[in-house]
Amino acid sequence: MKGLLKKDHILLKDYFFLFVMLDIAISVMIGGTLLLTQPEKAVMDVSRLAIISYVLLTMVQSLVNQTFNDDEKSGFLANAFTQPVARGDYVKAKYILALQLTGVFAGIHTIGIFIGLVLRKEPLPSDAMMLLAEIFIIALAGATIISFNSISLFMKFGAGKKRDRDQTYCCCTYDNHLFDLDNEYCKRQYRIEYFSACNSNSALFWRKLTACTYEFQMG
Amino acid sequence: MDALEIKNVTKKYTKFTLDNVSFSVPQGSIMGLIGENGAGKSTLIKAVLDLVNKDGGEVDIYGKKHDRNSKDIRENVGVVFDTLHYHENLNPMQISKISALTYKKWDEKAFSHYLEIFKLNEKSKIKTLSKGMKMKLGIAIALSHDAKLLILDEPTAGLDPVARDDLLDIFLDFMQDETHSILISSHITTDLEKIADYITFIHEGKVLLSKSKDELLYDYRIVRCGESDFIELKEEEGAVWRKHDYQYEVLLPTGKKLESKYSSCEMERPTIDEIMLMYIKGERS
Repeated sequence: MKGLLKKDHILLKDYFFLFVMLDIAISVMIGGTLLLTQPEKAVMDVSRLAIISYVLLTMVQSLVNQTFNDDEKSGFLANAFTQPVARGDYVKAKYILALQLTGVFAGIHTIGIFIGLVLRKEPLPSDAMMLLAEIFIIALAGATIISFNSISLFMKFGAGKKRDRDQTYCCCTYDNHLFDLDNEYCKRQYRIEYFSACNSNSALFWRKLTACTYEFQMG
Repeated sequence: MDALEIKNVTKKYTKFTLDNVSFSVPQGSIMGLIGENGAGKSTLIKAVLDLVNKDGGEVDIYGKKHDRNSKDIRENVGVVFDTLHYHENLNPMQISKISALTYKKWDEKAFSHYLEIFKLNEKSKIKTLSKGMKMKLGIAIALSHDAKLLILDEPTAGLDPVARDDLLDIFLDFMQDETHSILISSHITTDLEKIADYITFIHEGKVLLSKSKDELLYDYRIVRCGESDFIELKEEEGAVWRKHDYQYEVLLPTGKKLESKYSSCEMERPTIDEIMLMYIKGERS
């Protein structure tokens, strides 16, 4: 499982820096403009909390989804399950990653909002620290719950079902077009070179195409 | 002891069934898995690795039942597919770091050694590597965690003869340790003729034969004859034949013993390719 997390950390490194910058910018802006409606008192209503949680969730979700897409695109799951990795480890690793990212972004968010408050050049309201703590906890909890639910959905219908979907994938019947072999997805995923050079009128083509259909079904 | 024992493995699809496949790979040997495209080789390998749900049968690796929870068993198995299933932005050094956290016995020095042998730069991203280089990287990964059993699904497909020969040398080198074993599937039967000890031939999801390579190459004979000899030849045990314009071609599993009996016919040792073609295209009684 540690290996899976390490892989995701490495692959997310580039995006992560960009997202951190973006998160800081948004947080400072929220802290400086949106949160305080009265100079002497920090006010946070439901809509503002929703904005904060939504920004946080978008950050975390985009990164976690990116890892799912990377796994799907590279066929990593087929490889991972030949290693000492159980399917449960893969699921756990995604949850832990979401938790780590939520924690990091909630922290950045809170600090960013604090910086925004300071940059207002007005005295900090007396309950500012309490407000920041609330933001951190509520944003963390909200983003965690929603991203965990989203991972569950992804595991049920997305890359996590790769193991079972392998059995039914069939490029030949892609889009109900039996011979649509030029489809990029087919080319990338499957070995089509065995019959692509055959003349479509020849018996050899038909024999190989039948074989190919089997091969595609088998993934 | 068998490194790998496949017992009645069955996998059913709508148009295809892998039907009660059984054979074993003795420890210290290389088993070549041959068959035409769609015969079921890849499905069998996926069933062995538990990447698809089996409809029946069992797979034992070094005497232990292998299923999707057998993490300990998979420590001893190195797998190479015909493509490298790692994200293209990763480089060998990063893969080593990931693998060190995945395998208990990951050997960084061995991995670096293989990278050196294969002339792979540890900082080159996968997307910059050629197909041959990617295969070599896959093999380096499979060999660097002290695997005892290698399972290779068409590792030489799409490679030029030089790269193929390099890989075969690596497999032979791996076999220097007599506890090591390999199951390798390939369309390129000449590769298997070079390295395999045993050959299992799968056709339409069934095992047609599973024998030692020497038995296939030295006992089997292809006889070319006219119609008068053919009538007698086709009654021989296990005979498979094809009719050409002016002659019959008959494959005899016990051909070596029958050389004197059919001395008037043209008789020669078949290649694995010829045996495969005869079984796929030939007729049987």
